[in-house]
Amino acid sequence: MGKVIIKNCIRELRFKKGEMTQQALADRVGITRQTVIALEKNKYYPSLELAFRIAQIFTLPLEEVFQYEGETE
Amino acid sequence: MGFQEKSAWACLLGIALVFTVYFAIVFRSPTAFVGLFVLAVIVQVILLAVFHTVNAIMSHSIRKTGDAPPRDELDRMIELRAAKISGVILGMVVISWCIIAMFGAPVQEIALAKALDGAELSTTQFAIPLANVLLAVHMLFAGFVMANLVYYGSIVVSYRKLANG
Repeated sequence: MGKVIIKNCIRELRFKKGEMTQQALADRVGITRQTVIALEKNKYYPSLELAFRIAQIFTLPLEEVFQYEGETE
Repeated sequence: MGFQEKSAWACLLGIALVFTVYFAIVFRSPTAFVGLFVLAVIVQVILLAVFHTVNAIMSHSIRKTGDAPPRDELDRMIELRAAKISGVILGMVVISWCIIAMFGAPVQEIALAKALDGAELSTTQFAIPLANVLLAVHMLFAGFVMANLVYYGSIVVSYRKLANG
């Protein structure tokens, strides 16, 4: 079983939402800026709860923020 | 560098600095630990208090909200992973120490019996010199300190990996 790949478009969505800063997003969902950076670089996959909270900020369904891309070989 | 990572760095360097000096002394003279242990703990507490005060003053988040930044799920995951690794290290140290003590004590008894011209030595008469007992205790404590270093080291490595890729 390979590593699961989940991509996200948080960075693009932040800019679409009035150039929201990483710190502003972090404050709104209750995480640190470091975690936002890790999420945007796809170095960390959030819990389901955090994923829903982020999607709620952008008022989008979860799958428009996070996309399942399959597994690595 | 985030607040939690800076705290981990402070703990790692503080423990390494204070307890390297502490063990360098007590491994040479195992009985000279009483005052030294208290001093090491006090120095450790002062170092961490100074660092955390400076860290808090310099932290943007604390200046803004007055509170330390909350630990989020990523911080907790990093801490759990570090605790798991250091727990394994501590377990290995304790088991190794027990095995060495179980086999080491009879070896010392035989050595003592030989020193007493091969006299019959019952287990009730056998006594390990205080310095040797204290040395063994210091070794066990060193294992505990090492596990702590591994804990904070793992946290620092995890944050560095996230930052550098």
